[in-house]
Amino acid sequence: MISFEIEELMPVFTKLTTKYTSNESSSVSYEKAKQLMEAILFCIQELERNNPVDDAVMDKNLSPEDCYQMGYQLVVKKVQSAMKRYHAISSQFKWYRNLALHDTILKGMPKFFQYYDPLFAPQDQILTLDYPTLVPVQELKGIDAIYQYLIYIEMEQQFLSNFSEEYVENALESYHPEHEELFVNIPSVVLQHLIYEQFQEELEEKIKEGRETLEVFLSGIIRVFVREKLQDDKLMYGYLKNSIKDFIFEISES
Amino acid sequence: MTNGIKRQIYYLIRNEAAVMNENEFWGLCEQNQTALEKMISCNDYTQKFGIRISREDAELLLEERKHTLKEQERIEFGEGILPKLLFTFCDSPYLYQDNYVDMIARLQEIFYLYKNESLDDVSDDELLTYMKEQFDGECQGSLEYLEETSLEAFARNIRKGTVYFMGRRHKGDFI
Repeated sequence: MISFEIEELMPVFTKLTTKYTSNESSSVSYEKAKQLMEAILFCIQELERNNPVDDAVMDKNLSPEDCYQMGYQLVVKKVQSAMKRYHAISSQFKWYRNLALHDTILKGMPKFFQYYDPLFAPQDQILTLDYPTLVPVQELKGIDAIYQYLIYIEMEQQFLSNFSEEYVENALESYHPEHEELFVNIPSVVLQHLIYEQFQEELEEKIKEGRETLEVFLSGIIRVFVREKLQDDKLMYGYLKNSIKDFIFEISES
Repeated sequence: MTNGIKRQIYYLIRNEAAVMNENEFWGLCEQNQTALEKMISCNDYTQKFGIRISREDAELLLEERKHTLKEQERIEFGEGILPKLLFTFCDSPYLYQDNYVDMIARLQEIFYLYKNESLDDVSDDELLTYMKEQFDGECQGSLEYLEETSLEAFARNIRKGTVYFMGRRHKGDFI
């Protein structure tokens, strides 16, 4: 585990602050100092995140400056990867008339790549990510949050490509007439619609048998779908399974 | 990163005093001995204008710096602004040996205040140049006038985003 005393980080902080001020200012506000220190910690933690059990990194007795620089390079690479992923997503992107999804991906993401500052504020996420993914990214920060979010969006687009646009929009329309303005996860709605459509009777029986049985039933349906339509992608299954708790909640509320 | 270090840095960043407070963080940025020697070495130049700073006065100014930085919620690094202040104002007709230390201490306060008021949109040199011009000119050596009139207008224009203040100035625009 990387471990530094705060005093060891001060030269890194001074160097970054000098760069920030272009050597034209001998002082910064507390607020700015905190932001810059957070930037340093974010990069060092990025190195840790990418080398959780890499003894080679630890054995090298890397200085705080080395750790920071290596972490910073990882942040920059992650931004480049995220941008490639975004371009791949956006080339065939479908938003199914959901405004939150449209605004987050087609309007928001380009702004993120335009304004994101990996050097002085890598910890800033910039976007509010209004469209809800099945797994929230709130605990992540900066490019980590955006990168993971794009992975989820890519998975959702892949899942939804197994249905016609008409089918998806009908599912959304059945869910709520004003679905365009709702902050709702589209795969979750489509899965619910699919299950009601094809397994209505079994569903009603499983509801009577209790929550645990219902969860197993719904997991099974998702597993079969992923196996038959999505090359048994384990990550996809793990992601889509997160729709079950909301589904069960809505059943209990209805 | 150990939990202990994370906690220290957390408190540092979140401005809580449990483990490390702002004073301690400021202390880490302090390089008093370097700043002290630098200020004493300014005498080589300032004595041409009849002004010399003693070691005791330099220490006093450094102590004042600490308080002012805390009050203005700023962190200074490197040798700080004091040597530049000494160089800039030593030839002012309104500064002499008897009032030098007090004036520099006040100018230092005013400097940090207006770095904040200008939202850090002006460099140290730009602010010092403007302060010196106004102090020797329109303000006729009055620190009150400098602080409450000249610089007030200066900072207001910077906040409004007037292009004149990105390294260029026009005389008479702010009085």
